[in-house]
Amino acid sequence: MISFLELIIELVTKYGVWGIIVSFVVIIIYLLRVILDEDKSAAWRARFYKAVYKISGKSEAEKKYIENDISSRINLARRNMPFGKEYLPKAIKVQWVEGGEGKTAQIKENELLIRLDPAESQERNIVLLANALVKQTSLVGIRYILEKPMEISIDLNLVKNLLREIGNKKILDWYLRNEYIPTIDSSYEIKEWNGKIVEIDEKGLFTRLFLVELDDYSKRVAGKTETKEMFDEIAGLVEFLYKISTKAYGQDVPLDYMTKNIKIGVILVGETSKILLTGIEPYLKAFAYKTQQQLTSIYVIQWDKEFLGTTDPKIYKQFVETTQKLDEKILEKFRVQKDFELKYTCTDASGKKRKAKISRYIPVSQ
Amino acid sequence: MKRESEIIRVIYHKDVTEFFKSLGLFDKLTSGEILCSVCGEKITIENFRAVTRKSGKLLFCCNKDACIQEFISSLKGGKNDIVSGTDH
Repeated sequence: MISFLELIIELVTKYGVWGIIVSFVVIIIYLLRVILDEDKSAAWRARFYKAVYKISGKSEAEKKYIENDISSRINLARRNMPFGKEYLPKAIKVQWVEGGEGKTAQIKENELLIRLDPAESQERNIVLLANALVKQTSLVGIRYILEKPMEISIDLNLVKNLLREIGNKKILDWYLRNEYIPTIDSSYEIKEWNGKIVEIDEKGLFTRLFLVELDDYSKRVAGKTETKEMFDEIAGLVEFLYKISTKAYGQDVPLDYMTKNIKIGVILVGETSKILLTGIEPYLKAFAYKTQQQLTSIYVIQWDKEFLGTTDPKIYKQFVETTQKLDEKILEKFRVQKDFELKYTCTDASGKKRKAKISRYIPVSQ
Repeated sequence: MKRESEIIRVIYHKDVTEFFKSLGLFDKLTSGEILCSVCGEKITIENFRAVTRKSGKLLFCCNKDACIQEFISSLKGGKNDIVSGTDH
């Protein structure tokens, strides 16, 4: 907001009348963008009603503030949580139950109604609804298979990620202190699963790979009764991704995971020097091998050293071009469909910050 | 394009009494007959946190963090289903 105002002032002082005209156009465009974006406009409504509530103390203003503040914060935050081609969790819409004499509150089967705290405890309200939203709209069709400690660990990390994306330290701190840490400390099993999911998440494979595969898995087992084998398949997937996420430099780890209902392969482009030295041929050979394994999805994960871009832009450019060529050749040579490509940043095993990219390819059956 | 949203209905903290009256359960609430379906504690105006309906029965939850987490999880087919409820 401050940088936006600075831009306007700079335009006016530098260009006089033309600066005013341009500023006017910029403001109109900005306002249009806010109006057309329901989450951004909700954020402005929340600010307005908060001020009204602080001055008047009226309940209607308090309700409007709570409702708009929760919706805007959660819905804007979820846009930074890519789950394959979509976002996770679903968008939220807060609706007040109208009380009052003569009115009968209707509660449908399985519907959840939550009592919210006063506006002064808004952090608590946001955490409550983030929890409810994650639990209501994620792991759909899979919860009945999961054992409780794993289910809790997945939810904890989804809620933590959502609250982190809100960007308000107070809200995240409240959650970590009052829910996240006490829940982890309450059980050895939760601590174990959570530790693995955190590692997977730090490498960017939690929402971009693990949850994507779980979503596919839920479709494959839809209507089937849960079995121990099903849970073991999912637990095995966590172990598989954990090994990849904690892989040390030069260490070999399994890159295929094949069970009755999960068949995935991973190609790691983790050593920048290797692909620059050997070219894309070894990676194409690995891809060809994987296409013969009847896998349901093949992931190409690229972790490149970020300092390359600043200290040696030439080599970095070469690296980017080589990896782009790998993608083009994969689509050209193999009968696969590219499901998605997501760019992100993560930290490697030695604590170095890396730019990363994950692409998912789905083999097309003959 | 209209996006798909999850509607979550919420109760205003000043409307709790009216809400129980509209359910016809205010007397049960004041006489301590409504219990948290997770921990068994008596539900009051102050500690009431959530309500749902399962197999026709209303289930209530108190405001303890552990209870609300368990309560919400059980709604979407989690393994530990909560059982006790109030007929309404």
